[in-house]
Amino acid sequence: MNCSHCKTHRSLLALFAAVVVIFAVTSVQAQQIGSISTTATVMSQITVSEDQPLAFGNVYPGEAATIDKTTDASAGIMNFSGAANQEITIDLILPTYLTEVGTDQMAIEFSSTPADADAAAYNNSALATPSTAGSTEFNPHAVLSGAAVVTNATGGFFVFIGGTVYPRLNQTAGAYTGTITIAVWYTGT
Amino acid sequence: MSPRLFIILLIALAYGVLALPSLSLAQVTITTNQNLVFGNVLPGITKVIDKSDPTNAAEIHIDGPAGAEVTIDFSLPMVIKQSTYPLILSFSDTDCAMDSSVNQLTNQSTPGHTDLDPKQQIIYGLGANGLTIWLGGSALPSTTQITGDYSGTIYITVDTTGG
Repeated sequence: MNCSHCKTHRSLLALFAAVVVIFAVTSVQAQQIGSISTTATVMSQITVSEDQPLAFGNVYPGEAATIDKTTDASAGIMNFSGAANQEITIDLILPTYLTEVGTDQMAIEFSSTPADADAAAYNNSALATPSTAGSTEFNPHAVLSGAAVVTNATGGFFVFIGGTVYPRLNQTAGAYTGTITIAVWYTGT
Repeated sequence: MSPRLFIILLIALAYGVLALPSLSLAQVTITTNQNLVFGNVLPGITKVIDKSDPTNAAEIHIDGPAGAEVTIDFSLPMVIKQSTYPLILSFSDTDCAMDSSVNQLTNQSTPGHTDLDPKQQIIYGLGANGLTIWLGGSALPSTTQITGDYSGTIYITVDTTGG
């Protein structure tokens, strides 16, 4: 059938469909959406630098030489820097000998004796010298951690280290060097 | 039927059928009472904010007709950012809780419905005072995470089911 009313109704049905589509879209927009911010502040990484090397100076064949951890001029000074007031763990990997430009070696020892351990820790940046009284002595062969190992108010922490070298009677003359490797991390406590 | 009457009937029908659900949805409102705040985090140390943490867990309030059933969908970011640097987030299967009791705002530590998975759609009923939702999460900074302030957005979509 092809009447004018039928054409009109077909047109109106098309209009109805369009209205349905429009309202359908409107109903989706009625959904409620909220938002929440989430934030975090990442503190600085813990880093370590060598403020002063452990320096034995001139040593002589057959004579052991010791540098105490409290000797300002020659004890090794490790300077840790990170977020303030955070507990950290420090692990020192100590050499067993020093090397002279690829030819000879000289034994080095770090004492773990409780009363005379060769390392001390301190977290007061204002008094960060090896001779500082009150430093916490610790065994450098053991991992240093615990409630006392906490960075100070500016994020600082220091470790002082001494040791003993044993040059042989036939030790080759020359400059000997070695490396103390330091691992440090936050405990999160 | 005259064309004019036909138009009027069609429009009335379309409005009557389709506008009502829109009206019911419009009665639901979402208010963020508190954002999810991780605070200071240390490189390499995961920080977990529990949903019961009154200071740092997110708290969202939904208002609407008492007894109305709603679906709740979170859009959770995998990372928050500082400039282009990402900080990974993680949400566990139990990081969400909610309560629709009258005293819901005081029930964060003992919510009516707890250990919900925010990664899944949650269906819940509104109480006389609406519904309060709490959300926790974890930030997982790497050991080399760049220092600074990170931020991101969690979206929550609430829809009435008609139930």
